[in-house]
Amino acid sequence: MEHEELQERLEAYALGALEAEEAEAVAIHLLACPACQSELRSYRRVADSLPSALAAGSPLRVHPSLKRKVLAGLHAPTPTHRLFRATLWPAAAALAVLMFAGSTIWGLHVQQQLARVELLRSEQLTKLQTMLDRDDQLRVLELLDSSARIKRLLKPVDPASPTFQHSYGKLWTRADGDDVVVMVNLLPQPPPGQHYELLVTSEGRTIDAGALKVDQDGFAMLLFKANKKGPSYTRATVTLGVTPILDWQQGSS
Amino acid sequence: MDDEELVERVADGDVGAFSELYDRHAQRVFTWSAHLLGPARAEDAIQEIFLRLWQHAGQFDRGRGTFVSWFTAVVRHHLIHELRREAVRRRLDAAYEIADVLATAPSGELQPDDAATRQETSAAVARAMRLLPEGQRHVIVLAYFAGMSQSQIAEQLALPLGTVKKRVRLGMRKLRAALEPEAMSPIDPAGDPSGRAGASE
Repeated sequence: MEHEELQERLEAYALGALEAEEAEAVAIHLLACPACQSELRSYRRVADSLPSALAAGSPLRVHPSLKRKVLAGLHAPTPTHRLFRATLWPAAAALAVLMFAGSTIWGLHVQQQLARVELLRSEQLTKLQTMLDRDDQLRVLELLDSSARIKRLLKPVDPASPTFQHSYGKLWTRADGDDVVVMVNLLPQPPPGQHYELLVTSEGRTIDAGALKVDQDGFAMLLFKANKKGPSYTRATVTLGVTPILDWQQGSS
Repeated sequence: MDDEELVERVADGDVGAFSELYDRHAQRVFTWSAHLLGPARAEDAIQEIFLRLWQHAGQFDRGRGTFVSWFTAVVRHHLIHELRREAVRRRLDAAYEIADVLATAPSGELQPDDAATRQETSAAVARAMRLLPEGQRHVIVLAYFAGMSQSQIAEQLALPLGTVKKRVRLGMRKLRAALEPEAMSPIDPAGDPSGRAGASE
C-alpha cells in the first residue's frame, strides 16, 4: 500500500475506527515513516481532547464522596512498581512494541490496538532494535510490509482444548523472497523438558523449522530462511513434543 | 507540579500525588463514563480505572508521551470494553447523547484543574466540534466514544462506507485545524476555520 493511501487513514486510525487489517497496514507503515508518526500525533492530540470537550458541556458532575471510595480501595504500594520501571522496563517496552506490531497482525480488536499504539512512539523504535538485531528487524518489517506477502493462520488442532483453545499463530512468507516469519500467541509455558517446535511441509517433505521459545506473555516468534524464494508450504504445524497444537493446511484457510 | 511528575510519584506509592491526579482528572473520566454507561456504572468504572492507575503507574514513561495521552488510552480501553456488554442500540443512544452535548457544549467551562494549555486545547476542540456538520460529528463520536469501526458505523447509519470515511477524514482535519496556533486563541466562530468549513461536507 502506498504512503499516500496509508496517510489518508491516519484520522480513522487515531480514532480507533479502522478494521484490523487496515490498522495492521498503518501500524507497520508507521514504524518506518516519521512523517506519518508526526501526523498521527497531531490527530491523537485531537482525540485525546474529546473527553475534556465532553466534560465541558455535560451537566453531569462527579460526586465528592466517590473520591473516598477510590482512596479506600487502594492497596499498599508495591515496591515492584519502581523496580519494574528501573530494571525490566527496557525489555518490557521492547516486548510491548513487538507485541503491538504483532497484535495488529493478529487481528485483535481495534480498541486493543489503540491502547497498545499508545506505546508506539518514535523513541521506542530504538527499544525494538534492542530486541532484534537490525538485520533481523528489517527482515521482519520488510516481510510484513511486503505487497507480496502471504499469510497463513494457524488454528488450534483441538478447538475444545481448555489449554490451547485460545492459542493461535500466523506464518508469513513472501512470493519474492525466502524469509519466513512465524508468530504465535497465548501459548502456555511448556512443561519442563518439552518445547514447542514449528514443522513446515513443502513438496511432500516436512522439516523442523526451529523451536518457539514462549515468553511470559505466551508470545513467540521465529524468523528463518526457506530453501528457496517463494516457498510453497502446504502445511505448518506447531507441536509440543510430538503433539500437534496449532495447524494450518493448504485449503483450510 | 505537572501530571508527569505526579504519576511518577504515584509509581513510588505516593497517595498524595494520586489524590492530586484524581482531582485533576476524575471529572473528565466520570463524565465520559457516565454518558456511556450511566451514572451508577460510572462510579464502578471510576474506581476500577483509578485503581488501575495506582497499580500500573510505573508503566508510564514520559519519554513516550504525556500522561494525559497515556491515561486517556487506558480509560478508553476500559470503557469501550465495558460498553461492548451493551446492546448496539444502547451504544448508539449513548453516542447520540454525547453528540448532542458536544453540539451545544460551551467552550469555556472546562474543569478548573485542567492545566492552562490543555484547557485551551480542549476548548478549541469543543468549539470546533460544535461547529462541525452533524454528520461528521456523529461519525467521530461513534468511532471514538462508542468504539465502532468505520464499517460498523456505515452499517448502523445505512451509509456507504466511503461516505463514512470521508466524514471521518474531513471532521478530524477540521478539528486539527482548530488546534493550529492561529485558531486557538479567539473564541469567534465566524473566524474559526472549522466554522467556515462546517457549512458543508
